[in-house]
Amino acid sequence: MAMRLTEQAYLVLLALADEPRHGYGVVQEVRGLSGGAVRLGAGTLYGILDRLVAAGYAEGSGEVVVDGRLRRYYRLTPEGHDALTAETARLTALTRRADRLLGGITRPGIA
Amino acid sequence: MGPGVDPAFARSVGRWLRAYPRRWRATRSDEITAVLADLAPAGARRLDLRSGLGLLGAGWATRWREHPPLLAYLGYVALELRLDPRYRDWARDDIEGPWFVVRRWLVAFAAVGAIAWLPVLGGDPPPVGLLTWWAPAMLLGIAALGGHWRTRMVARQLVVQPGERVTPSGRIPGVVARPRIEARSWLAAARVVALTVLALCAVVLATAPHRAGVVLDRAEVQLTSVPMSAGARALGFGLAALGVLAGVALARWAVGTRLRTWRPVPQPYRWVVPLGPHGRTRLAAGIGGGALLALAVPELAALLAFPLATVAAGALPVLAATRRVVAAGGTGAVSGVDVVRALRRQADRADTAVDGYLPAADWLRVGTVVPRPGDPVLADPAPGGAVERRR
Repeated sequence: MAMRLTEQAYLVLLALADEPRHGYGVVQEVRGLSGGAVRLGAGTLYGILDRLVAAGYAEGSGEVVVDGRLRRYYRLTPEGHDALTAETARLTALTRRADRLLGGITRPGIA
Repeated sequence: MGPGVDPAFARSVGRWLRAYPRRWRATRSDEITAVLADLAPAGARRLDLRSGLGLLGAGWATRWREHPPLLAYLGYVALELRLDPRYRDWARDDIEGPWFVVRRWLVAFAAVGAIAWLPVLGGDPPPVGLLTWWAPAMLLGIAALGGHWRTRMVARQLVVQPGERVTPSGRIPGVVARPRIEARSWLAAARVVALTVLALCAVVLATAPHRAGVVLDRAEVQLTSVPMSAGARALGFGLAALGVLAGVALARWAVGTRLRTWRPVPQPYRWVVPLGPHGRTRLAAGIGGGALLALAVPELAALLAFPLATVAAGALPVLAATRRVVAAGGTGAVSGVDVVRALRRQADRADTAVDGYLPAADWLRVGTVVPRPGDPVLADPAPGGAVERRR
């Protein structure tokens, strides 16, 4: 089942790209990836994770208890990796087009 | 939750998490509580409002996302139509919820009410009197049939059919141990019933202006209405006082001995369960239905108040003594039926297995398609499940 990737969902997928992470790890990674612009709340994070798992883009990869706190890890599936690659290519193409467009015009001044 | 999360913080999170479906909370609440504890400032004892509202929104979004479409939902509620198997987990939450039988009652109430009020459109007077009978009848229906409705919906909604995928909520018909209510729960429920009956009888005996009377006229038995005299009221309260005395005597000289000397037999096919939310709902419905019935037929209620007050008053000391013995571990009676058998000096009998439903995931892995007749069978049984155990 394909899923429309919002910016937050894209960032969560990106956070899982290099290694499995638990919920708090994903929040920290997303904050880093977005330069501090996106701060995921737990409710938003788990809504996204639920949808990513339902779409087959991510899956649980085990759980550990650290200092009495349960940490369940999530990892990207091959389908999730494909979706991430496709979305990154789309964003790259969009950025390229935007650069081309912005390079040819001057900044509007105040009359 | 583990020792790493402050219990007060975990409780605070637990309150906000009620926005999520029960099945979601059962599997994820520890995990999300740990994440929230990681995100919260050190030493936080409650979840901040912003995070709480975030959970509230996300929880309801989860409910909305997993809810069946409106038409399918209406078919499920009004006509008990089977939902698509992808909503099986939702259906299980609904069927196991404490409000399931109440909602079932409300649907029946609304349907009958709508039919009964149709003639009003033609100018007939509204049938207000219907409420007097319908409400107690339906409450007593919940008490008597609540378990049956639930079982019927499990059979219709949760049993996996050939060709469908096994989900955690999927069920298969099977033979299961017989559930019996655990002794302490049973005694607590019996005490609530006895106290309520006694209170209702006291009110009826003190205030009822008339009571039903029985007149024998040759071969005919006639019910008449007679005024409640002061003597009759005094007789009612006197009988209740006698009941208390008899109950105290029984509690003192018989209860302890009977419970301690009672010998249970092995019960391999018994499953001792607490009363639980479903049992409490049915108990409350039964009490409410009885009270409304007393309002509907006040004169008959006044007549029945005499014996009922006596029995309820006598039961209270017996129940209190029984509770003391059970709490002290002085008896082999562990379920309500054991207590009744012990008090009645009946020998114990072994329960037999009964028809019921088992988790389908104990048979096949979650996600496996249930084989159709003629398919090669069970290539991938659940690890440690029923099939593997049998091999």
